[in-house]
Amino acid sequence: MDPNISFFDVEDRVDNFIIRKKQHDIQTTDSAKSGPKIHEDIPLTIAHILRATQDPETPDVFITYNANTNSDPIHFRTCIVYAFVSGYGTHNTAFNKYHIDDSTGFLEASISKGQAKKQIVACLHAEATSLASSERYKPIAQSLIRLLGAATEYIDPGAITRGHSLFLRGRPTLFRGKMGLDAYSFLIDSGSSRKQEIAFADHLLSWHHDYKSTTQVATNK
Amino acid sequence: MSEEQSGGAQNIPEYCHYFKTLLVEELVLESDYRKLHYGQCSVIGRLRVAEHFRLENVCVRSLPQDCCLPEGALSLLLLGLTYDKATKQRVSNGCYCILRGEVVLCNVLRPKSPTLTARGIHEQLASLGQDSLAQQKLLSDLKLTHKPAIAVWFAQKIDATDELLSHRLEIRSLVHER
Repeated sequence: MDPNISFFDVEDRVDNFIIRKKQHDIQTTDSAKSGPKIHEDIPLTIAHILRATQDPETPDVFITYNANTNSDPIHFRTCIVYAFVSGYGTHNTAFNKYHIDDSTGFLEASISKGQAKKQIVACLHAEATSLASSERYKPIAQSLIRLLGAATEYIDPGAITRGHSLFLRGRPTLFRGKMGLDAYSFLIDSGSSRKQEIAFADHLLSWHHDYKSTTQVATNK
Repeated sequence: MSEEQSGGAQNIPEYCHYFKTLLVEELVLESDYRKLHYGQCSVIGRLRVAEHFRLENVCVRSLPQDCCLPEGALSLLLLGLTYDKATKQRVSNGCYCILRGEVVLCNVLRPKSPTLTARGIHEQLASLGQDSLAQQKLLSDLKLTHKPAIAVWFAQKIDATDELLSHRLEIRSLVHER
């Protein structure tokens, strides 16, 4: 990082850092073993998740299909869905539960309340507030407070209400015979613009179209 | 005929627990109420507020021209939407919106009477036993008094209606293809 840029520039460019953040320990597992490619973070509909089954050999891998005919299995570990929040489940101390629906299926998603992260944010917030009283650190402290506020939107699922639409990244979970979704991260999409929903649908359709054509080429050989 | 109907009595439709993407046309133009969608659905259309709340069909440009009705040619009765609720959900006359709710059959002659569903019709038919004449009469009577409607649970104003609807239909066909 250029040492000359001020903290305000960092604040403006914070999105760049989020996107560039590397997700390590994911890519390594894919090629280590021969066999079907195991996908990460693929776009799926809830119908896909509901018909997914656990791989008996590697329990963290799920297998799903595009159609009811059991052809072209998709092996995946994590996925992304876009869905409408139609109701609440029973929240517990660590997780909030939401009924989500993307017009292809319905399931309960649990989202961590992020208490550990929230605590860190609260500590930093207290620290920043006390620093803000000193004239010397005021600008940086205020900048930190704003960043912490922005970060809270991505940590605290308490803001999710019925009628919102959500992006969820997570993995399927089978609990008492019912398929659910454990979400690692979420993003709320509210308002009348359906740009994000359309963009996700585009991504989903083209991913599955490409996937189908690659598997067909493989079987034709 | 009798074979088809006894088969129909066994094939009681299963409740749809998710908001399946449907077109206004699919509900309004269904002539056989036994085949009407049973359960939850989501429909996209244009809201019309006059004597009643209604949802007009919208044109899907990605569909072939000859499968397409002009916008506003059909409209679907909406139940459970009041001026109060419409204002709260920020939907108004003439705006494009997505509605989520449950498909019911509403008695348009006696609006206060309880609503019916496709499953209810199957059960009423089954209660008539093998009497196919009585079954026919029940169905034609229902056609005169009842019209498909949506009991609205969620209403949401939307932009880019056409694009959103065609994407949702494509996803529907991806998921249900055989």
